[in-house]
Amino acid sequence: MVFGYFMKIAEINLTTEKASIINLEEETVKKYIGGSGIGAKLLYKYTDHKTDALSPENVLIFMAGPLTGTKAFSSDRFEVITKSPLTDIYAESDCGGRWGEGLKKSGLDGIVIKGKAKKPVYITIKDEEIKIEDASNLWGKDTFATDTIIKEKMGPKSDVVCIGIAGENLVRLACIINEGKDARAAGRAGVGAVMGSKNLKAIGVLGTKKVKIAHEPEFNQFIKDMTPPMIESMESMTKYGTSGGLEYSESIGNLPIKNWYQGNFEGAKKITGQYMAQTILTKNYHCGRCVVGCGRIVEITEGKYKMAEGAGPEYETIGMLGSNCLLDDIKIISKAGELCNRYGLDTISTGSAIAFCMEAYERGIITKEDTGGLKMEWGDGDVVLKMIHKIAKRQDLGKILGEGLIRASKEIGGNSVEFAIHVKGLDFPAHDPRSKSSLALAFATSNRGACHLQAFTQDFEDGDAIPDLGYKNTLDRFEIKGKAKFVVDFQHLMSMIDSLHCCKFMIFGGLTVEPLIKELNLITGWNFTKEDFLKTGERIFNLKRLYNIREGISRKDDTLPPRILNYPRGGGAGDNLPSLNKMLNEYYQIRGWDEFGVPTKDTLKRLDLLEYIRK
Amino acid sequence: MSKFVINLKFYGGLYRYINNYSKERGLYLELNTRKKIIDILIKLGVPRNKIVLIMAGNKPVSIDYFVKGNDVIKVFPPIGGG
Repeated sequence: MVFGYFMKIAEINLTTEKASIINLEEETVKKYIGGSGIGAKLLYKYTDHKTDALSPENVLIFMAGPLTGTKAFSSDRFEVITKSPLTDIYAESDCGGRWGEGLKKSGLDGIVIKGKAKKPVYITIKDEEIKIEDASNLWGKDTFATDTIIKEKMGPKSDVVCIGIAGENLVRLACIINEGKDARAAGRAGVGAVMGSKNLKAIGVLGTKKVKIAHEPEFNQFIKDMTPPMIESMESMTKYGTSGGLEYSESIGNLPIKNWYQGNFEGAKKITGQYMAQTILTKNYHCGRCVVGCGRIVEITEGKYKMAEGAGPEYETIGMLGSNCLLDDIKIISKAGELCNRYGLDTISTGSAIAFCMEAYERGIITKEDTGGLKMEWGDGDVVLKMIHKIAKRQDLGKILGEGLIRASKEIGGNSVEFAIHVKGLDFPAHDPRSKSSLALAFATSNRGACHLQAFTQDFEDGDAIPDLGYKNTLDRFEIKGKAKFVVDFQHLMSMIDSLHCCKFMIFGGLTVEPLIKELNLITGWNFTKEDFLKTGERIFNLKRLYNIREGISRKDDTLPPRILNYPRGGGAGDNLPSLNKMLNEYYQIRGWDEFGVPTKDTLKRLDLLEYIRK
Repeated sequence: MSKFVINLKFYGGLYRYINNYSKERGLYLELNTRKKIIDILIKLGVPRNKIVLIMAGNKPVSIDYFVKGNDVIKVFPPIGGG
């Protein structure tokens, strides 16, 4: 008996309209755990470098982990894994809410969607019974309405993931939403467009299944003991959410301002979590198994940017659609976030696209003729909102921007490639590598492109460290010495958290390495040591890298945009520029990769990945 | 005015700025006069931009809050942003 799992993944072929069960083996789950670990293994098997991300040959994988479906803190998340239509490489996108637990309750550890339906469909899964239903009454509806309609049919205890019209229109910035108007997103890398390319509108899950826990009384006691200190230490997240630290972020030169060009932003104080709490916040949102509740629920009762009570903007949304566009009106930013949620658009990439557009407009590379008459001026919230509509509907320049920065800068031409701020095609999230050297290395080496979450070092580099990962002291954020090992160690821990699967913010509340291992062992009955745990994380990270190497990724792609490498932003980051090459040399050496960033045979042997050697 | 004691608790990495800090007990300070909390924190060496939330008991207070006897003050750093 394997605890924590049902050992079942549903494979649903939308071309043949047939579903079957893939049975997992214990050896597989011990090596790859779940979430993005098993997801990466399946993606490697089902796709390759010839697979077009928007073709029926791509697969869309939804995975839970062994923690999901238990009382483990914030474990009701799920991971989406696919080949990205934005980057054409490995993609994973992590989502909060409750759908992950719903998936486990339906009796499954994961779902693989293959092929393409002839007409729009949605899938329902109830206690392992899978149905493919006609979605003609849902296609064209936004994510909030879709969620409501399916829940009316399946019942209020069901959980729904869906796409909006951005996904239907194959906009490469499209995301997948769950929780309806309380919108939690599998945001990044265009996963919503993959879903749309399969004519798949939504997946509703419902059930009564419960995973078995190996040491249940001890596990329950563990949760009980960890809860009060977690609530106490996370109070600022509960009160102010992810943007409670936004002013600090601006003060140290981390917050994106004017397409990553500017150092300071006076308006930052008007778009913080504290400001939101005094103005438009009505309550906070908890993912199902979370005792913190960092999510924001806002309402704008009157005026031009009126919005019904629902999901408010997170730090990333405020950074990318706000300060990065020189916009300092929290109401407009909230409205922009709501539009993105309804359309099913990634707020990070959409904000990045609009800021890129504003700079191209300022530099005269594009004009009003290209934008359908919009004057894309910095700080104009109304044009931000109008351009979101155009991106979702593929109108005018919105059609080009929705293709992502690599394709858009090629199409727009001029020197726009100089200010297309991405790595491997994935737009920067709202953290500046010029403010912290670990971010430079993390962004350059993350397996899905520019991403802070695959390493998640930014709050630990100059804030608290993680003693049981070997880091007792705060580091100097500009120093490069020791940062290669720092990033490697954090990437292994985060690979595990993305596989277990739970929320990374729980680390702030005390769920560090040893408590996480204890949680895993209590649920599964395994005896993972710290060495086992981190080696498994290393294996998973390397597997994702192998996928990308097969796609043609190598050292030439482990880099940063010219603006970030060459142009000091001033403000709190001063004249600091990342010394990426030095860190990268050391990083490859620590990882056991060759000069091109390819894992050596010895490394693959050590990590039990020899089956992935390409002959 | 007679002396009084306050208890300060620091979260995240903020405790690193405080000498003789105990994670279990926090820091006890004996004061002669009621002072603004921000002045106390700056004097202890906590960087101003790393103070995101100050609570006195269960209530958030401003940086200009005047502490009083038996206050339990909690100070939180910036976290989040993912």
